[in-house]
Amino acid sequence: MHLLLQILVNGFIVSSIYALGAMGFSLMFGTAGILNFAHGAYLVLAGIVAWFFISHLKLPLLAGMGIGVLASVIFSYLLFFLVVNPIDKSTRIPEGEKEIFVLTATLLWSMIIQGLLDYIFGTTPVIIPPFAHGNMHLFAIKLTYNTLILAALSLCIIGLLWFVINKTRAGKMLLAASMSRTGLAIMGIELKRVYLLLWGIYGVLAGVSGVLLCSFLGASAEGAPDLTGLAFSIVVLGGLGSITGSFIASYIIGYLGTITAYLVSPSYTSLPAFFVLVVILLIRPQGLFGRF
Amino acid sequence: MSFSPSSKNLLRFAAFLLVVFACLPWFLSLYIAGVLTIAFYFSVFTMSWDLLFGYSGEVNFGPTFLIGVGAYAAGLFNVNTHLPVLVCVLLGTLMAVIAGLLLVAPALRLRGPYFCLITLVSVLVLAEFITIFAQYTGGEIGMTLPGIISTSTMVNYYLALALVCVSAGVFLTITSSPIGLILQAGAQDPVAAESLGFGIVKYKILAFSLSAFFSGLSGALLVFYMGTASVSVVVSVSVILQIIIAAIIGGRHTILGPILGSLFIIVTGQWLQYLGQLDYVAVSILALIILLFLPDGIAGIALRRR
Amino acid sequence: MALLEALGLSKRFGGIRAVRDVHFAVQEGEIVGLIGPNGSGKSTLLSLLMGVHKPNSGSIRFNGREIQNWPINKRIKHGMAIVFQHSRPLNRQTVLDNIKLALLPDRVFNIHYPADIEEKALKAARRLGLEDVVDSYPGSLPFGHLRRMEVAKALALEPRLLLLDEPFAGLTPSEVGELAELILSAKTESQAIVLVDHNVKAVYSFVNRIIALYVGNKIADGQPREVMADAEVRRVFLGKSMDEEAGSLSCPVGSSADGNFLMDLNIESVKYGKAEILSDVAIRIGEGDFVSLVGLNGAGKSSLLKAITRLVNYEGDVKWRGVSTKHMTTAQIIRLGIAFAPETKELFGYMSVKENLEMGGQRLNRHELQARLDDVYELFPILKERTAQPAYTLSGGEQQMLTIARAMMQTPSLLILDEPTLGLAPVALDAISETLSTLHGKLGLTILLAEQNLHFALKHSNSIYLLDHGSISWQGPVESFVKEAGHKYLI
Repeated sequence: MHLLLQILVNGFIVSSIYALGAMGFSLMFGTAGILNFAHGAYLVLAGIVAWFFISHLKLPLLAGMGIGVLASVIFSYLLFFLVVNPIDKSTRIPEGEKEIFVLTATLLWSMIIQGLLDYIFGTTPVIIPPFAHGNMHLFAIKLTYNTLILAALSLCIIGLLWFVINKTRAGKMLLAASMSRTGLAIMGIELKRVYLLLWGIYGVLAGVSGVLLCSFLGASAEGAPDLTGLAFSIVVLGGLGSITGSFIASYIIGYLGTITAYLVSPSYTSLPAFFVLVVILLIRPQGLFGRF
Repeated sequence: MSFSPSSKNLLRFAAFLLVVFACLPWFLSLYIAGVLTIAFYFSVFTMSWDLLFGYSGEVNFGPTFLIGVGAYAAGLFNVNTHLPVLVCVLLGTLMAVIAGLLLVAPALRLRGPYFCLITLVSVLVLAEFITIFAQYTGGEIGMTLPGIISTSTMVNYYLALALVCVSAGVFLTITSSPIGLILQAGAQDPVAAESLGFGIVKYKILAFSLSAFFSGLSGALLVFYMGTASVSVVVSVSVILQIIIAAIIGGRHTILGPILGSLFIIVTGQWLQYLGQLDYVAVSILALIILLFLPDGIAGIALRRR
Repeated sequence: MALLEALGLSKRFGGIRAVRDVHFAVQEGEIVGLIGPNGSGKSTLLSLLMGVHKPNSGSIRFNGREIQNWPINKRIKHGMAIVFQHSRPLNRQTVLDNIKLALLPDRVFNIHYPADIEEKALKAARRLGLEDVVDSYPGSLPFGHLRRMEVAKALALEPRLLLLDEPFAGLTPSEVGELAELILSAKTESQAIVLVDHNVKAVYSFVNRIIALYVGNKIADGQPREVMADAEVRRVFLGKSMDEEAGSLSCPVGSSADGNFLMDLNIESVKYGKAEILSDVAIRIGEGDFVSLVGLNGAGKSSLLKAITRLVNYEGDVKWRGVSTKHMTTAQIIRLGIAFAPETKELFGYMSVKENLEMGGQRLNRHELQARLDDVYELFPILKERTAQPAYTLSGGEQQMLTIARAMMQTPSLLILDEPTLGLAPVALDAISETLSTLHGKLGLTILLAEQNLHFALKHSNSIYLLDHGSISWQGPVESFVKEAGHKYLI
């Protein structure tokens, strides 16, 4: 009973944190058609940078986290301006191969970020200190205050994201872009503006997800590919192109991982997600709500 | 076989390379011969990748799945049984083909980014398995292999070179045969290829099987040459990148270009070792630049018909 | 027994019934042409024959066997051959190699080329007049030769039935003639051909029999001369009788008389890959004008509108109030005050009607936006009713209304409309007609319209440009059109 509740709570938190990142990943694919292989690297980048500013430079928690997110945003724009946009505009690369080149480039980008992180910050996994120490008892399980705060934060941000996408002009532009790029152009809206917005939002989402994850579970550069793989599983299960799908799939994958961690062993956490991916690809590639 | 002008060029080029490499060891130090041996095994990885990418239009983001399965399977047989080394190698190769066909090949019938996704994930899964069963596989540290093929640098060099020749020969035969033509048509426009009466999935599976066979074989031979099987050499993501970069730098759609690219990558890797942890970063940055500005690679430019 | 029989074929895409209960037969050796305006279902019908789509009901009999569920490659193996409109050749292979591809058997262990393949490929090339270019690469060939190569590949299979999808599209008139001749001489007596093309004139002189389709139904089937003289066929292509009501709803020509043009365009060339779609088109639009571009499908009307809005590249220049727009992006051109309602509508399907309209009013502040919305709802009351519905749930006519309404949210100086009447039922058509009258007549909006439905265009415009194969074949005031150009329009 105790164990079940623990799984329920922890699973929920980790799923909510994954959901943030996965929704960013899904938005990137739905609006720009890009599968960002460096996704995991962004999560880890934000986490480690935040940790550095908090633990070494002794910045207050929120400020440090903010800087972590900022790092993610900066690298997000760097990826767009230095790599993705040039490939898109390139005359040397045949049109049909541009997608593959972008994928390969994001993989390379991931290596660059991982390598830099390893070099500058070392390879030991790090964890951001908690918001608050101490714990409380809820329904006979022990919950740390930190855990609660993280859960609350994730949900707030998911709510904020939903609000921004569905209720603000900027958010609607992104949604519209994923439905018809030509339509957007004939509304007098420059696509460049939409992309700038997209990459910025992606940077924020990945960044926030990354710092929260680092606070909950820790982060290390080696973990980046696994996190990317996890994002794939979530997005494919949810259905490529569906943000709602990614949201729901995050909880499925998150819980599978948590259950495995508690009932089998923590080192097997990412396995179920990969099996789900393989199975889904074999029997129902469009996932739950896929538009493709 | 009919030869178009560019494949005649290709043959001449291949013959030239072969002569050069056959003579080299007499002029070089043992150390460099050793580096080249590794480069040759690596070349087989990259040629296999180009068969899938340059000719079948399928991007394999996890070639190290096939390589890793071949290497580890051969290693495990060697450690746990008394089978002769070459039998272990063959068994490892067989395992690579089977694993590939079971796990990855089904995605070939899907259109869209699914094949790429599953190939990358397959590598992650393999890495997980190796870590989980560390007691058998040596986990992160790696597995030492008691068996050995030869202690002579020369023998190892020529063995690797022979493998390159055989695999290049097979790949070139395939690509200049009707199969190659059909594969390319299927890669470019699957519906049009079908409208000429071809069921293209079976050709892709053939290409994939060949890719799996040679990747597995080369992986198995490589770990016996090195004496250990470890994740960082035959499975990790950085190796995947090196393969892809080598193929692109060398020249996609050429089969032989990747050989040059492999030499380039392995040799510069040696030079850049002094940078320590930054060598991957440096190679990746270099690769990005080449991707953006010289996407046709060395061989692509050299062999371009005008 | 007929070589090919289609019995009760029907095909639906969601709510759209593209092909409705069509029956026809093709005999050995016959050449049959399928014609019809856009949205008539002819392309869908051909795709059912090819195997690209499967019918919802009905059957297809080929050589006595039911094939409607066969995959494409199986049909090919049993004697069919297909030439798609947009085939891409293998650019790294010579023309001869491309043709050889067609001659290869579907066997995985094809290590060697069959001994006679070179000879057969050369023969196929010669039949289509390609013997001089067999060793060239597709990249160096003109578009007409590439089309011939595709036909050569199909004929190399020695099929009993050849299906051609828009074989004449993108070719110059002389290339059309050459291709038609070559196909006729290359075809054997027993080989049958079924083709779809928008170029009614070319089809007319090429085929033994024409089948005309409209809104998914077959409306005529017989000798070319009979079909083209058929009253219903003429009505379907031209709208109602051309003489009635020409220019009845248009307003007198505005300021174009004094030389101050709103838009002055001079498009020298638009190309899609190799195919030249437009050449030397010059149009002037004055303030308050209602200009219509008419012509059959494939004439280049849509391409012209896309060139003006920079959705495709062109050579030449388009001037707006004297200023060149050649280097502007689509969004910049729209912001100049030019609104565009494209043929494909480009609505934001999953967003509500209101949200679509708000996207149009992006640049307005909250008060202006509300005021604008009210105006637009007044003009389009049906949209007010449906304001919260997702756009993709609207009917065809309502979606068209929304496309125009969304464009009007931008308070444009010029409204460009691409085939607004496409696929609409008469009631919806009348509603659009009324709307345009209000916009032009009461509000004085300048309008540029591209329409296949000649009657609709003539009713509203004050000047007409007739596009034929990418160039203007007639221009002038609407009153002169019927007298001078009417006969050029169809056959």
